[in-house]
Amino acid sequence: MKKIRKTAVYVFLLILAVVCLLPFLIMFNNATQSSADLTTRLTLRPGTELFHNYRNMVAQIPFWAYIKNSFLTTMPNVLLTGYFGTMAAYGFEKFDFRGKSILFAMSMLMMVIPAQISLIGLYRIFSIMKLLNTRWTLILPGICNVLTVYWMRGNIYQVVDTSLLEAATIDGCGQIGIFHRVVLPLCKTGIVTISIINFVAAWNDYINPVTFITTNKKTTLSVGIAMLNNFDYVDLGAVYVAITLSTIVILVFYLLFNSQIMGGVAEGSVKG
Amino acid sequence: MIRKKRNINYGLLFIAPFLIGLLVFRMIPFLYTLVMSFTNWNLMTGEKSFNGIDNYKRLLTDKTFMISLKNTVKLWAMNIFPRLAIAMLCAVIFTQSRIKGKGLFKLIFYFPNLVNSATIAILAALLMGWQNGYLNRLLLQMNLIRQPFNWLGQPVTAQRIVAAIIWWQWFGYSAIMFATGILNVSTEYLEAATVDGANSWQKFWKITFPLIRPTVAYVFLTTLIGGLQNFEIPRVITDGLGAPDKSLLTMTMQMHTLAFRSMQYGYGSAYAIGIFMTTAVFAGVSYRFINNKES
Repeated sequence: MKKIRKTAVYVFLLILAVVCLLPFLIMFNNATQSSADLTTRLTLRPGTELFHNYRNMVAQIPFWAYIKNSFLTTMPNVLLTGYFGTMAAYGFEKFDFRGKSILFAMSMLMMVIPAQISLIGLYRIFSIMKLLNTRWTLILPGICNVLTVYWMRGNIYQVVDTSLLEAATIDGCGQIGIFHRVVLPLCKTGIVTISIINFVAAWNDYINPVTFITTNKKTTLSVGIAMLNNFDYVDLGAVYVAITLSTIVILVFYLLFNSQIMGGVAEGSVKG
Repeated sequence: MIRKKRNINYGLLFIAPFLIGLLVFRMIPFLYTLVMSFTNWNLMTGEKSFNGIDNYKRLLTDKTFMISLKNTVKLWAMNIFPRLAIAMLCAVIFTQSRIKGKGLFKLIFYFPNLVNSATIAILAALLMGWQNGYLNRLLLQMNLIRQPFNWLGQPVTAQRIVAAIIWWQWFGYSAIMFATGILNVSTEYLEAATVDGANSWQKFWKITFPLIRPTVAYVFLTTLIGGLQNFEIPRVITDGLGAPDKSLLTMTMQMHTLAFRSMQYGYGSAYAIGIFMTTAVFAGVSYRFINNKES
């Protein structure tokens, strides 16, 4: 009885694993087939046209420019979030001032209100600030990542000992110096974890870049990939290579940082 | 806490950049959208003046709003229950059964969530496409069909496919959340129940589920709020048109089209506030429902 049950559990998990991976496996395989074969005969054997498809793809799609653009917006955004998010979390956690709980509650409220609802207003604000079509539209909102402040506040509560801060004060360290020399180093692991999660979110962002950036030169990866949906203009093999590469980029990132990603997701549920 | 008087201002100083950002990029845009919703601002016609609640009157009689609302709720409702059920099953397996390779399965189940939605949508369009779609080619080759079937061209199948994609993207995430919720429940209860001779089914419904109810409520509410903002997959698959027959037109898609394709800032803003109100009502009702059950 126990054995049957164990087998059933395995079969269930394996079926789910196949469901998760099969679309990607077909995608990888199709990236190696010639475009003509893709529309006439299908085979499960890997093809030989990968490099041919790749050359077609880079001739028709500025794929590496998309990657570069995504990187140039994602990286500064994540750094901004890590720095100012930790700073705000520190201010909320270790200091007392009037109106603190109201300010914190108000910030948390903004976490519940979906950002997309204010999209038109934000578009007008960027227009007034003359920032439309610049990378700043995707970078600057990193200053106010509410989830990061919430998350880092918990982290600071756990790892930053108040007596240590007092000792540093007695040693004549200024408050800003304490933040940079004591708090930031102590929170390093936490900041790295939340930054990895923020990186994935910013990298995959679609609605903001598609709204605020309309010049082709600055198109990010997700928007560039989305533009492929008119298959008449690009050959199928090339499209398959483009989405395969887009998947591989995040797959490599996942394999490098999976413990932080899984840990961060799990921790989100504890606090939620 | 550092309570010395000279430190008081530093707390504010540290949160200042964040608060200013929140004000400029979140709060003012929200209020601005609210104000614009009472205007007829339209870049195409050049109109720009207050028109009271005209936009809201129009919204309530706008068939497209009702259609997009219905589609959005439907796409969410079609995937949420299979998602919660499968995720819960996975979470119980991950936390309570002694099988090998749990870590690997978790890794695999969460992966679809990390790939950007645009890539997923393009892949779906390639696999489920009409004349040259992979599935149709496969079925033709196996002589299971004679004519390629237009999966994404029929409202019923198109909606099912999009709901299935969203399920596929999110069940792993929910599973991890539930697994963590279960692990946080003291295992003492479960051990005591085992001693008392309870079987797995009883243990789950009598002990585990009531204890992780807050996690379930949290996951349910966040997926509801997120689901009502559904945008990326249907937008990329249909290029913002919501075809076939507007069956994939979601609320946020229509708002985006109104504001950024037809340049109707006024009505688009009212549409956005409409989404906000809808979300608030749905979230409020489910919250009360969950709370009532809990007490």
